Amino acid sequence: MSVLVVLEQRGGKWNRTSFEALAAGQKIGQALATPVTAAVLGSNIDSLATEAAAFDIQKVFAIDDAALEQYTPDGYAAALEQLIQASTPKVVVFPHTYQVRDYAPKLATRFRKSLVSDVVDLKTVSGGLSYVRQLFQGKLNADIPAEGDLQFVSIQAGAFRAAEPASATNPIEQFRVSWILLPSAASPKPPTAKRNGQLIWAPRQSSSPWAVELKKKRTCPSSRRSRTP
Amino acid sequence: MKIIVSVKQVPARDSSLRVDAQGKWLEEADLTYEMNEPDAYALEEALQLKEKLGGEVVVLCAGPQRAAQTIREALAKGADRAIHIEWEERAAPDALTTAQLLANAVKPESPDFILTGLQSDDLGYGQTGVVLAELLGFAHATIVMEVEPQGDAVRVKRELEDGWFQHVSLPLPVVLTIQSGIKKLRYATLMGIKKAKTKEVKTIPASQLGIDLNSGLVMERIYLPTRSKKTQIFSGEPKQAAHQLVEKLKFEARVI
Repeated sequence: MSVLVVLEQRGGKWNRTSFEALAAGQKIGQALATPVTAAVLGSNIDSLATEAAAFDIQKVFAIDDAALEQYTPDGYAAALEQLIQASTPKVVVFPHTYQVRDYAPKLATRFRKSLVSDVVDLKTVSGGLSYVRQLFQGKLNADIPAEGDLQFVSIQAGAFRAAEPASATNPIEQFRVSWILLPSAASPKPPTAKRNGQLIWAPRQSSSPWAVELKKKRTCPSSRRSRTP
Repeated sequence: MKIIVSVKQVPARDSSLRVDAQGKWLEEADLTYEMNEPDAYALEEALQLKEKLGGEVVVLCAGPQRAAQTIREALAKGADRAIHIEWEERAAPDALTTAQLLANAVKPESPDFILTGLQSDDLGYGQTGVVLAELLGFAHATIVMEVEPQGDAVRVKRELEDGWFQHVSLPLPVVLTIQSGIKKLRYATLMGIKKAKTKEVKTIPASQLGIDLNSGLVMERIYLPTRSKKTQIFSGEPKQAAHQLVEKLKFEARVI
């Protein structure tokens, strides 16, 4: 039993809200009296894993895989599904980022759980832990008891003060994802799954994006009533 | 092309929100309802897709009897028919329960596109679309701003953090969650409103969809957030006091 905090990086740079999620994870760990671990996903992430190992946690799982170089919901969900099955955490904590919004509900669904999204606070009422999240865009709060053998929680940016590294060198465990490969494929491929069964690289039957191209700088259409997730 | 648009009826934005006596949900008598705003944009995108590709737009909605009003509104704007999963039992289901109902109702339709808003204005879980995609085994993209169909695929523009965009191509069938405000919403025409009365609405009782309606996340209590004003004096050495003040401004007030 543990609390697993999934840290987010893109292109070798941390998303800073990862450490706010880590701080929340540490508080959850305290409340449940269980150790905290962290996971880093990506390709060539040795230095990031070392940085993560400096925090006050039990250990870091490094999922270093060429197929995870570029984010895809299928790749991330598959990798974390296997890590959760192997490490059996009680609570999985994410920062509530755009990326997490994109794959964490999918991951939780694989365990038939619902993600408690956008948590702003933790509460301990008569010995039991509750997650506090907002309703009606912040007009109301709701307490959701931390129940169940496996919980998924995402933490709102700015809700917790980011954890500081403790200059420790905690162990780093390399975690290998097993992709189901077709005979022609020698190594995990970047996500180029085709439909109709020709090439599916994720361990489950599911379709994944054909191609991803980043990124155009935005010129913000200011009239738009967009939502900040 | 068969395009499903999944909409939710939510308390109107200007409703007065009064928590009920049990602290579990709102006093419903106080509320007026409207279509969840991001879903209204999903509907608009669906109608424009149909104008480009042909086919039909089917409205999908899970909710109590009163949601029929929101369904009629979608039909009046140009959707062809509707599926209403009728459900009185629970006011605020979690995303998984809702998505399971939607998935089971939509499976026999074998759609090419499922569009929905990126989140609801009431519960705001922001997950139903993604969970629905996972349950159906469809590809998905979230926070979509542009939809460009390309034969048996679709190219979408997604919003990322810090002003970045991403273009992704996905194979059909697909679930897209649509960002609010991406297009101008249409009004229902008088003719549309008249026609809506004769359009097909298939009602499916939620209990027939084989889902445990009472499982999942429970909101133990809902309440107004308390905001208290507090004055704090930093006495002592100016240097130390300034240090404390910076600390407070940085991590509590979060203004610097």
